[in-house]
Amino acid sequence: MTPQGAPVTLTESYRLCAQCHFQQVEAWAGGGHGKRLDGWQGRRVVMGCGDCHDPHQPAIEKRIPFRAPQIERTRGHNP
Amino acid sequence: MKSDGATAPLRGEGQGSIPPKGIDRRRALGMIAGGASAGMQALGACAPFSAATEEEREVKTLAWQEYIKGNYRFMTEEERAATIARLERLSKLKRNTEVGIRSTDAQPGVQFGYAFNITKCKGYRACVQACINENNLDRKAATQYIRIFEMEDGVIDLEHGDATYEHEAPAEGHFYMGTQCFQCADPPCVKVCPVGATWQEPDGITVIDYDWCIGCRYCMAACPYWARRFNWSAPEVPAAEVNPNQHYLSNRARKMGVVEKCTFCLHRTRQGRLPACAEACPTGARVFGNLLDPDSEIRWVLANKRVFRLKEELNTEPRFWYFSD
Repeated sequence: MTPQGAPVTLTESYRLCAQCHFQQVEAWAGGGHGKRLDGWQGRRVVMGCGDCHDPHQPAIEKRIPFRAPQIERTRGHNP
Repeated sequence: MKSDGATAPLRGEGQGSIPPKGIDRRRALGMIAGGASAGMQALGACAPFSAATEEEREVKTLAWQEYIKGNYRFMTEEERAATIARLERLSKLKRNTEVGIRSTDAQPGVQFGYAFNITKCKGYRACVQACINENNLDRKAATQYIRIFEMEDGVIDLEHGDATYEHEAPAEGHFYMGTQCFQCADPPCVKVCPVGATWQEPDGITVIDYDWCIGCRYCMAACPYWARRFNWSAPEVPAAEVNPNQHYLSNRARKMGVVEKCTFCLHRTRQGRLPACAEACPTGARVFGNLLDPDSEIRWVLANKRVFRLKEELNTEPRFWYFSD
């Protein structure tokens, strides 16, 4: 529900989230937050708040990363 | 051999036009190999191409014609189509993989730009995995274009950053910063190439003609970002894992002794798609788009976030920005 009492559908979760997380929603609307689904060109389709964040556990979980590069640290050189 | 330059005014006049215009070794060889209209049959009958089977003979003939071809940059439309047809056929014959190699040019009015959110990156290396699969990177040498540096909060110090972490990510009190080729607007790697095998395309992507590269690795020494990789051995990709969606300048099969690097997946991005790394990123830390489009996401980030570029003092003008929330 919005403060005005209007119901919020699941696909428009940002209207609910924006009540507190206004900075994130502003960045999401502009392109600095969230994830674009189609290509960079043409109509912009992005993930909604609830597509990435579990409302009960919004932080993204830890996991074991994909394998590390096979590089040796040499003197004066970045890997 | 020399095709009529007048038929393709926009794409260079063909390899025969490269100065000096006199007969040099390469052109002489080219005339021997492909000069006659019956080039293929004539070659097939030549002694150096004696082979047991018809297939072997075809491979040798095609490989020879590939060897004496020109620089992609100066090829006419027809020369490009011919080399691509040869490469696709060779891929079928030698590696038994059906591939489609594009020669799509840059879209007009497009300059690609990339932004990387160091707050959002959690160090999963999902981008690295996607990059390997997309770009047919050498599985034997485990080539990776992308490096994700793990650093302690508060200091950006890549010298002491750890790119080889194996523990669960994100680690407490650390942040992650990914590097790859930044597609500099003033690329030092292009300046040092002694043979013109690497150049900047109109959409800002620095590309390599893998068949023109002589493997001197000057470009690797010149790059301040360690973005280029050298093939010390012939790259190996299992036939079942080869990505058949290829571009001549991007992810087609490389060979031993040539340099390769990230091209912002131009075989995808010139079709309007996102680079594989940006598509794979599970946290949305990667923003990609057209710098010339004022409504693009990348322009929003540049206008509204605190952004910086790596080693900005070198004036290489990378098209890759870092930002934080």
